[in-house]
Amino acid sequence: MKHYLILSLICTVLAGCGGSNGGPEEALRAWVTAAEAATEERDRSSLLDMISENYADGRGNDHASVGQMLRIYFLRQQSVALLTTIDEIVLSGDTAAMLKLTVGMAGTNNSALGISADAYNFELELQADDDDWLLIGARWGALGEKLH
Amino acid sequence: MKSSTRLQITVSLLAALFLSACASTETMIAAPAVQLKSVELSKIGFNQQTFLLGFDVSNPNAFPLPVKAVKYRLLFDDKNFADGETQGNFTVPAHSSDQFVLSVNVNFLDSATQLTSLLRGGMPDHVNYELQGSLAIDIPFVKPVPFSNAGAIPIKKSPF
Repeated sequence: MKHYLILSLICTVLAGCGGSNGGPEEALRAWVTAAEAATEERDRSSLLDMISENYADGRGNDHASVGQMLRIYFLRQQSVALLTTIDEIVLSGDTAAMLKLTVGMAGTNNSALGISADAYNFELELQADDDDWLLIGARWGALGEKLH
Repeated sequence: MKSSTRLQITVSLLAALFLSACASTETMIAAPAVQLKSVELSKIGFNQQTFLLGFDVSNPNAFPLPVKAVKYRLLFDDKNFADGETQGNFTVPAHSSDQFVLSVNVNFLDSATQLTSLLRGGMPDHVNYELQGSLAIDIPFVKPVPFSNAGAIPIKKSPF
């Protein structure tokens, strides 16, 4: 009897774990967490893996130029700490999504770094590629500014 | 633990944090060099004259610099000639240079610059200039990058 109880408890826990796979929205939140962690660890390669080779934005950036932009943050010996808030997740089916984020940089208020401590709004377009979500486009602007 | 000991530890930790922050205060972007390359009087009107100011901007960084705005102040012979901010939309390639031109309207009647005086007396060959300003970079969290430069520049006059 005791064994049945333990077995049923394990099954319940396993079922619970299966149920925690909350679909696209959870995967997108995990994507943001992973991107934030990669940024803070200055792991440019992992970040680039999260960006589609077909990335394009209104500023004319592609995958390569975003890589160069990221280099600016990681080239110098400095730490990057982000404060990210997910403002909205808009799903289009199960394979396309738009994330609205507010991102601030913490611990960078020393003007000698050449970094503004202001927060930015981002609108990220992502597309599901098999099990991974990839960034395919982005718009951004400082808080209060128009995004483009 | 005594409160004075706790205070000492706290102060030491804060000092260590501060020092480690100072150790990493290296600027993200090396300042680009901006030089005034040409001054051209392009239009003379009764109330307003238009100058075209040509600039060279060189990027010493290993990555391109997308410039979204240029803030500038230009002095001729130590007198303010023009200042303002203009929207830019150009990218200076890595380890390379680019040019941009600003159109500046000046009213001789309202202006008392040395250049105005000089121009009233005839076009000078050269004028000493001092340029200060900053480039707003279109990359999140990057502050405007300042520049400054001084020298002598010939003044051209467009055929009207």
